[in-house]
Order: sequence, then C-alpha cells, then structure tokens
Amino acid sequence: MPLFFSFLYLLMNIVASLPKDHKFYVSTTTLDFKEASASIQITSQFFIDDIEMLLREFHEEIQLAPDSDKTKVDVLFEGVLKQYFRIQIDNQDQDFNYLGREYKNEILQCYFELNVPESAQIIRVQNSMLFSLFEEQQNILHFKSKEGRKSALLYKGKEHEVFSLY
Amino acid sequence: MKNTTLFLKFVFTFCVLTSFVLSAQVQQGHINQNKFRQLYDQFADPNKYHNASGAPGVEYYQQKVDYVMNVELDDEKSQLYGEETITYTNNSPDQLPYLWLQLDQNIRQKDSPALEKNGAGSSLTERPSSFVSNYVKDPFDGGFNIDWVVDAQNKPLPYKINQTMMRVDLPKALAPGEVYVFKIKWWYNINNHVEGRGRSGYEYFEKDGNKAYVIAQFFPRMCVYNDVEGWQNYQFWGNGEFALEFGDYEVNITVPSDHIMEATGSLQNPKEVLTREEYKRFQDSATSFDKPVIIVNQEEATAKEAGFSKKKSTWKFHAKNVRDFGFATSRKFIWERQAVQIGNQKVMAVSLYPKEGNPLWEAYSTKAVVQTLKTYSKFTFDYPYPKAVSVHAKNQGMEYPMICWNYGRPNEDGTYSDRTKFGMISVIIHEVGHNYFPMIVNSDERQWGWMDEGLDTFVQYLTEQDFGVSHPEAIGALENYPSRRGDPQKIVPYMAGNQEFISPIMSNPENVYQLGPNAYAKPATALNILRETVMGREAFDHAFRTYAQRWMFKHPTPEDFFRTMEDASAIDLDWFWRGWFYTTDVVDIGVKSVKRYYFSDTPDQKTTEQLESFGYDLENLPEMVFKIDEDSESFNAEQADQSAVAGSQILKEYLQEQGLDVNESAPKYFYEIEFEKPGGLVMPLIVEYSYADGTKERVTYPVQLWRKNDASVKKIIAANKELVGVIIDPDLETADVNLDNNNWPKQEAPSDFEKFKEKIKG
Repeated sequence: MPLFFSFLYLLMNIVASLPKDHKFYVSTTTLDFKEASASIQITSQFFIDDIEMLLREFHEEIQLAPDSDKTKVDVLFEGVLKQYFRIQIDNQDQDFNYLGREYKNEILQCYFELNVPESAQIIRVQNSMLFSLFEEQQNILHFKSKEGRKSALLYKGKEHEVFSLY
Repeated sequence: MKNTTLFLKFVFTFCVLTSFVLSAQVQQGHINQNKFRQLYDQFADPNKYHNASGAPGVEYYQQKVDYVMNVELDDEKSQLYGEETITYTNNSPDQLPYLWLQLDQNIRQKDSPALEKNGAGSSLTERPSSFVSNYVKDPFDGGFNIDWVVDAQNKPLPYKINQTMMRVDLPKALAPGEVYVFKIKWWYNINNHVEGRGRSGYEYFEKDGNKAYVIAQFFPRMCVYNDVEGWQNYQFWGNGEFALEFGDYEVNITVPSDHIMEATGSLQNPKEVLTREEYKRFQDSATSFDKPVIIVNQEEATAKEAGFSKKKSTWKFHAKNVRDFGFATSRKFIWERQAVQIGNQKVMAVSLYPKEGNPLWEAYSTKAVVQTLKTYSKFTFDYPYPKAVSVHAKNQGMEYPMICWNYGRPNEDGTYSDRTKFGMISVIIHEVGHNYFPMIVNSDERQWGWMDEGLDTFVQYLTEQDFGVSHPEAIGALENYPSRRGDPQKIVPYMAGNQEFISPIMSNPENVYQLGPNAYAKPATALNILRETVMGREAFDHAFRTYAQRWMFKHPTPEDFFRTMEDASAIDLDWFWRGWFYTTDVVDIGVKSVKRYYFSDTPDQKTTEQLESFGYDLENLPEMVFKIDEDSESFNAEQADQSAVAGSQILKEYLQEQGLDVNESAPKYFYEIEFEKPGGLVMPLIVEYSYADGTKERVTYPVQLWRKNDASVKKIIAANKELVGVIIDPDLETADVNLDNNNWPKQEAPSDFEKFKEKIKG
C-alpha cells in the first residue's frame, strides 16, 4: 500500500486543487553550445507573473510588463538570476554575461551567455529559480550541442544537471 | 498526347524494373502504419448509445439527479452546514446495487494522500513563510464531516468513504427506470483559497476584516453512471476535474443579511433578501439592454463593509437542467446586471466584485460576459440558461453552471497594466464560455481534460478576436486582441520541446507534465488550424455547430466529436485526429530542392544508359523528348534560358501540326520541386511561388499528397515566367516547428538569441 501511494506521489507533479485556466509552474531554459565560438547561448523563459512575485520579495511595489522602473527591474532580475542560476565548468564556478530580457505575451524571455574554456569536459547547471516560491515549480533544461539535445527536468530537491561538452 | 503517353510508359517500366532489383534481399513485413488509415484501432466501437455518425444512439441514456438543499454559511467561523435530499433516477438498463457520490472537499482532509506532493525532499532555499506553513502550523482541517446518510423514511443507509468517493449501499438494487430518494447532512471548514489555493473558498481582506466567498463543490454530489465507464469514480487528485449528471436544483442558502449573493439558477425571493432600493434596481436591470444597472454600487458596498450584520437572510435559487451548483456571497460585493437578447430568449449578464476590482471590473467584466454569450451562441447554440455571472476572486479562474470566478485585480491606486486588463477579459471569456463546454455539452472532465478545455479555449480565441472588433477602445493601438492561445505559431515551442515532457492530447489529465499546453492550447490550436487551413470556415462551423447541438445536455465522448466533424462535412479527418490528438508528432515541411529542366530531342548520358539497360534500340527509338535537368552534364544553361521547349524540333513540329506556335503555346520554364517532410504530421502543403516578374501564386496541395510517400513528394511547375522563390506556409498556418527549410533559396531563420543580440548591439 505505501509503495503504491509513493508511486502516485511521484506521478503527481502538480499541486492538488489548482485554479482553472491558470497556472502550471514550469520554466524552460535552452543552453545552446556553439562550439565554433566556444560559447554557450542561454535563453530562459519564465512566466512574468512568477518573476514579478519573486522580485516583490525584494521590492514590494515593483511591477513588470510594463515595468514600473526598468532599471530597478534589470538590476533585481539580474541579481536573482545570478543567485539561483549557478554554472560550473569542470568544477569551477563560471560567471555568465547577462544580455537582457524581453516580454512575449505572458512570458519573460531572458538571454545570457558564457565562454567555454578550451578542452572543457563537463558543465554543471543549477537552476533553482522559483523553487522557493512554488512547491511545484519545474525547471526544464535543454542542452543543445552538435551531438544533439539532452534535457533534464529540475524540481525542488533535484536542482542541477550535468552535461558533457566534448 | 502521344508524347506524354510514351514518356509515362518509360517511367513505369523503369519503376517496375527497379523494384525487381530491390526485392533480391529478404525484407521484414509490417502492419498498416499509413498515416491515413482510419481510426478503427483507437476508437470505441459505435453502438446504440453512441452511434457511428457521432450522434447519440437510439438507446442513449443518462441519469437524472435532482437536489433540494438547505445550506447555511457561518461567516465568522468560515464553516458551511448543509442538508440535501437527492432524487436519483436510473435511466440505465442496469440494476444498481450501490450509488457513488463525490466528496471533493476531502482532498483537503488532514490525512489526504493528495496533500502530499513531490517525493523530492528539501530545496536549497526556503522562505520563512513556507517553512512555517510546512513545518510549524497546524494542517488545515478540511474535508466533509458527514452527520448522517438516510433514506426517504429517515432510516440510516450504510455508506463507505474512500478518500474523495463515497459509496452508499442500497437495501435493494435500483432497477432500470426506478427513482431513489435519500438524504445527507454534513458540514465542513471552508478553506482560504488565496493562501491554500483551491477552486473555491474565501479570501480574507485584512483592511476591513471581511471575507468574500466563492463556494462550490460544497455538497456530496452524485457521480456519473454511464455506458462508457460504469461509475465514473476515479479519485479527485486535483487535476482531473468533474463528471456530473444533469438535474434540477432547489437551493436555500442562509447568510448574514447584509450579504449580496449570486448563484446558479434564478433567485426566487428577491423581495425578501434585498432592500427596497436594491429590489427596484434589480427589477430595472431586467429590461436594461444597452448597459448594466448597478444594483449595489461601490459607495454602498464600501459602507456595508463595516456592517457585520447579526441578522440572517435565506436566498432561494431554482435551476433547471444543470450539472452542478455554485454561489458567491459577501457584504463587500458590488453588483451589476444587464439584459442581453440571445435568439428568442433574454439572458442576464451579471458581474459581482468587491471594490478592489474597480475600476477595471466596472469597465470590462459585463462587456466580456456579453461578448461571450453572443459569440459562443453564434458558433454552437443559443445560450439556454437565464443568466451568466462573472465573480471577481483573487487568483481564480473556475467555472460552474451560470457562474464563474475570475482573476484580474488592479493595483491599490486603481491603475492596471494591459497585461492585467487582457488577462481579466480573457479569463472571463474562458470561464463564462465553459457554460457551453462542459456545463451543457457535458463531457467527462475527469478522463478527458481537453474536451472542455480545448474546445472552450478555441471558442475563447474566436470571442477574443470578436471583442477586439466590437470594443476597439479596449485594444487601443493594437490591430487585434492579443490572444495568448490559438495562433498556430504560438504552439510551436511546446510541440517542438523535448518529447519526454510532452503527452498526446488523448491522455488523462493527472498524468500529464504540461497540462496547460496539453489540454488547453494544443487542442485549441488544432481546431483553429482545422477551421482555417484544413476544412475551411464554412465546413468547420457547420460541423462544430452540429456536434454542439447533438450533445447539448448530454454526455459526449471524444469519438462523438471526431465522428461528427467528419460526418457533417464529408472531409476525412482521421489523419488529423490521429496525428494531432493521439501522437506528439510535429509539423515540419520543407522545400528540399528546386531543379530546372528543359526538353531535348537527344537524351543525355544518364538517360541513354537507362534506355540501354531496358533494352531499347537506340537507333530506333519511338518519338519522344527527353528531360535534361540541372544536374545533367548535358545541361546547357543558354538553352535553358531560351525556353524549355524551343530546343526540341520534335515538340516544335508536333505543335505546328496542331496549328500552335511553340513559343506562344508551350510553357518556357519547367521545374521539378522536391518537398520533404521531416516532421511526423501530415498537413496540406501550402506553397507560395514567386516569379521574376514580381507576381506570386499561392497553391494548396491536398494533404492526400503524402498518402503514398510520407517523406517527400515532387511537383512539377510549368510556367511562362522564371521561378525565383518558393515559400512553404508563408502565413505560418500549420505550426511548422522548423522554418529553416521553408524557403528556396534557403534562408535560415535566426534564433531568438541571435535576434536579441543584434537588437542590443544597434
């Protein structure tokens, strides 16, 4: 019996009693490994509502789309991105270059990139965005290289994935 | 034409001989995998309940359940007490030894399995408030407390509760045609739906100390018994919604006297529960067709917030032929009503909201309700109920017969963004639209989420577009209403995503990762594509209306929908349902190559070799002309530029004999275009050809093009102008996930990343 229920818990990825037409808590991040330029182009999509809620933890009055204060939003957003998105290449922390963001309907799409040192072997990507806000948040990672595509589903408790670069 | 026949004979012989060569190795057999095969393998067999046409069969039946309820809401303790008499009519041909009821509130019981979510463990970060609610606070004491279950003579009935389902064992099996009456008394703690989330509950307003209630799923209600599932008693885990029977409701709800309430059904005693002034306005609203009458305005509602009346009023509602019951009540509510003429009937469009919803709600809520009634009626049937109510509730979007809860709250200073405005209008349209699907076209939501969500989201899209036209001031500078779902290109990111996280539309909603795109957006987009690109509006609209009218006030299955759409249009759609609904295949159609060729009286090397190998006597060939294409070593560019036919004496003379001049009658340019289809889905092939003289020609090849070759097809273009460009799906109608192969000459579409980088550079 307990085994049966734990199997069902695993299947239940979304919280009981969801309001309708509204939310499923998923973000998608694509990491495009461009070998020619030895860089990884990262495009991340979040729901504007969720990011707004996250940024309001730091600044109550903040509004997104349209932005109440574009500069403040930029600073805050880059800040949370760097806090919850951690990348290591061959066990070394990597800083990434945040390029910016744009709104597409209800999505906030942001762009950042990082350089890949020569003969790098593996990349470890941690994406804990929104896990502190929503129990059922799922962050999908798609890692694309010339080998093809590898994906991972991250959730509270399983917050990083490792991909190979060679 | 003689030459054509000979050429064709040549081609045929070539093909036959080639196939002999291939059959030398032993091949493995296969089953029918053709994308156009009919859906016999997936569909339930037609029968007397759901026939092959997609209509209710001659023996179609459904049960009827009537409720008489007395309910009291304790505003201070946030509790609800109720007593109900259920009259259950067994219209099935079966004996029923027991009855099943749904106890949805039990999903909030302290020990409910559904409360336990991920088996994941702790996160690297935790907010203090969630730490408290997870580990410190007492869990919410939700769930139904059943006082008694008795028969019509008040004798106790044996019952057994399994989580959210309750079985009542009947002393004697209920025979076909018989009616059974029994009673239940219960109470439960109403949840705070803002903190704990849920489809119903209350919101607490700290500033004035009041609550606004949106109450539903508040009574033990009968499960559906039908020919497809037997008893639909799949547990309520939270995602799969509801399967419910039609019947008549008489509900008496007791609340504090200063509350204003709206509910499913018609208010029987307005004079008793309203003040004299409110009653007068209530009556006036019944004939106000051009704008709403505000029965309780903001000033009045705000004044009432301090009231906390100790007196009680009982609101009495009657509803006929509904599948459920919901109500909203609060002393904070502003209340407006407007009359709308729908066909022969007058319908009341109603909005109910606290002052926190203004000014947005007064501006747009009732307008959105009115548009929904008009557009949905146009596409299906005249709205048959007496009213449609939109209730403001924070973070909500949920539907019940004649009443729904909708989000859309401005900032405290009354300002609101476009996003909030359009979000509100869209959710109101969506939820009011649900009256049609599934409240009236009553599909089994527990099993098939898409049948109501997908169909509703589709008509929502049409309604939003209508709204933008009828209320241009609402969309301002925009050309169209900014619909989030419906446009084919918008579904591409989901469909092109990792297959591990995508399920076919035909999946149970509990087992799906991305429920939103799966049950709402993808089916809505598929229907939009069906309407605009595959069937055309006339055929689609007629078939869709036929389905809605066949199944209004009944329980349709997916087969009924799929079959009716074909049955009423004479357009074979099995390939479409199979691809879009039963698989997670994608659309990817491209132009592989464009090869120019011309005709010559002498064959090139390759053709000569083939002719020789087939035993043709090269000295005595019958009269024919030979294709010289771009890749051929004999290809003479100058010759090609002149004209495709001018180099052939044979053709020239042949045409002269007919009295035609080769330069004027025959096309000058011949192209063989190969289209490829890396994506699994078959779709009509929409091509735009561009010519050197600036003209364009749009051709749509039927989907049947792919029936014998799923990977690639070839088409010949014979024209008097030079072909300079080929675009596949120029208007992006097919949700093509890869636009890199849609152009000849080849044009690779830059990624969003590259586009953004370019943008910030400049």
